[in-house]
Amino acid sequence: MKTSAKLLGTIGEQKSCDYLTEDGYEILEKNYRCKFGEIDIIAKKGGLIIFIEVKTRSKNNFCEPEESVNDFKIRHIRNCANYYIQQKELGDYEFNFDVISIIVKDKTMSLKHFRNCNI
Amino acid sequence: MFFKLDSIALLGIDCLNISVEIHISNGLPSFTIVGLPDKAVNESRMRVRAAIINSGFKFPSKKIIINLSPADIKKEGPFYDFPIAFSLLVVSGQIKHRDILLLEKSSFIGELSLDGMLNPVRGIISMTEAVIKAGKKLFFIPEQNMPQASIIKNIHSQDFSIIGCKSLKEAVFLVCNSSELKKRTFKVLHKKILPDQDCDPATETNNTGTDFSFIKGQLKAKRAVEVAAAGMHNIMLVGPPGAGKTMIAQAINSILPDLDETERIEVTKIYSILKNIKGGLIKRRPFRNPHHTITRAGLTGGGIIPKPGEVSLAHRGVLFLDEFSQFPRSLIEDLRQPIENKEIIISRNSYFYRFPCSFMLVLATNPCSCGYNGDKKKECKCSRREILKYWGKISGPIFDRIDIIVSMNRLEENDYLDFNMVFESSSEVKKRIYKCHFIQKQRYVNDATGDKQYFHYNSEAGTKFINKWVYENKNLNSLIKESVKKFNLSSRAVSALIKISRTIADLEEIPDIKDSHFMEALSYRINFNYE
Repeated sequence: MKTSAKLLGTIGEQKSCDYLTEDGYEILEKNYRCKFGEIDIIAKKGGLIIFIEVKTRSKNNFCEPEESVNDFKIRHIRNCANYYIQQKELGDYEFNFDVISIIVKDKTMSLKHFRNCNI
Repeated sequence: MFFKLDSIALLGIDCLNISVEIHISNGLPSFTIVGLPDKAVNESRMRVRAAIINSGFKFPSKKIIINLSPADIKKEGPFYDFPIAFSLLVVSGQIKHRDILLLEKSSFIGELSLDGMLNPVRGIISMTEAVIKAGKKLFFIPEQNMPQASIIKNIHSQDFSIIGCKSLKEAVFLVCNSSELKKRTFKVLHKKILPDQDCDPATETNNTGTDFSFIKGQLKAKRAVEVAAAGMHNIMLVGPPGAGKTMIAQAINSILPDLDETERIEVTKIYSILKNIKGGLIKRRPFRNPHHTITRAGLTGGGIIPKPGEVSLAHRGVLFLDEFSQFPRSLIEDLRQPIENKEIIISRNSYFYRFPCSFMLVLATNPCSCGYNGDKKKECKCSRREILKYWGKISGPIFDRIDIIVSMNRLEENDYLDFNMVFESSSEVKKRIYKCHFIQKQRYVNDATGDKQYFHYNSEAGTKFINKWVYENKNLNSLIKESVKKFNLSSRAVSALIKISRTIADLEEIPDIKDSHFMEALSYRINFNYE
């Protein structure tokens, strides 16, 4: 049985995928797992591949969802992305890290897309 | 893609031409700096990113590697922001430079602020000299550094010019518009920028306002100080508490003439390594008065990346060590080589750093631990053993290097109330000393040798001159012989004596050294006996 937090996450990820497809991206992977960690979404548009971390919150308490993507998390995603690039031999592409933050409040959803969150 | 720009690394007072190499490729976006950067250099990644974006350019989202070559020398400071940002813009195709030769023959230095403006850097004089030596044509620097940088000789030559930029954007604009650049070059070539103000970090806190005319009595000490200042000789003032040792020492600054042009550049060079000096060159002679709790690195210079210490900050000025006997013995011994060689070399495993330190050493101390040894009225409470222990701290080699020792007495009761007696003011003494300095500079001006910093005071004269003077003044021979025999003088002491005699003769503007000059010099050396 899914907990409510996990359910919320899944809803958020699904919402993000819809948004990206609408925006012209091709979804390559969802919940890509490797031994370094997990990447929520990997999407492609032309010569650009983006690695996306989705953060969903039910209410805006204390801080924005995107703020909880810290250095530690980014490092995990980087390692994971590196692994993915090598495995699929994607050396010629340009890469970016994006964050999508979703706030669910009173059955409405607000979505923010942060492009190019490289460190 | 690869690109290379030249820049400068500051190593002590010297500089090294380095190149900022940049490689940019596809891959996970990252920004790495290699080539032994320190924390400040590494943090320039953040400044560069913000400055590029805030200047209206795009920061490339690629794998960026920066190498500061030669890679085995530690780079410090935020100086490389500007060349890094500029080469990033070139390599990402945002600067359409027609003239790649132009960039090859230029050098860049500057610290970026987050909004893309250029902040001034330390040590710009040394850097400019190094850039000229490397044969570059253009040197892009922050505009606030212009007053100092444009003072260097050869600046107005045809094939070298300094371009002061306000911001990264302005620099890009200039490189892209060759006509604008030419205009700017032209302006620099023909407008001699002189320092508009004399900011003196060296003396800003040390202007004690003590004038020679304030000092009552102590004529002997005043004369000795005048001789010392005239030839930049080392002097020690010994006296009971309250005799006026500190007051006389502080007045030395008021009788020393201002620095001449070469000296001003030398002194400003040293100070500008430590902090940004706004405006032009330092004008007043430094007067350094460190407390005896100073550390070894503070006195002689040091640190992981060596910085000049008090001895170097007192270059061409006065190093005043008050309560000399309170200084730790090891520190006193550290002064041996700086006093003698007029420069200090600090060796670290990767590089050695050379700082000039041609200073006039002024020491003040009590004659014993109770302070009243030799006083006319008050009895000294110290035993002989205590006195020996007190003076034992100052070793023979150090004593040998002190040219003039004066013992001072406390004033008599009448001296305080005698308002009729007018003493010479500092400005009068300064005039005499100025003349004396001038004579000395004339004498040594032809002896300046290429790389070595040129000397111009009697205290710095080498054996060559001393031999010449002894040869020219045959009358001194018997005096020298006798005094060596009688007072057991070392050869360093003899040459110091001759140098002081020369200074006294210069004060009187007499070309030959007379017997009386030598006798006066001798009296400064042998009169003092602590036992």
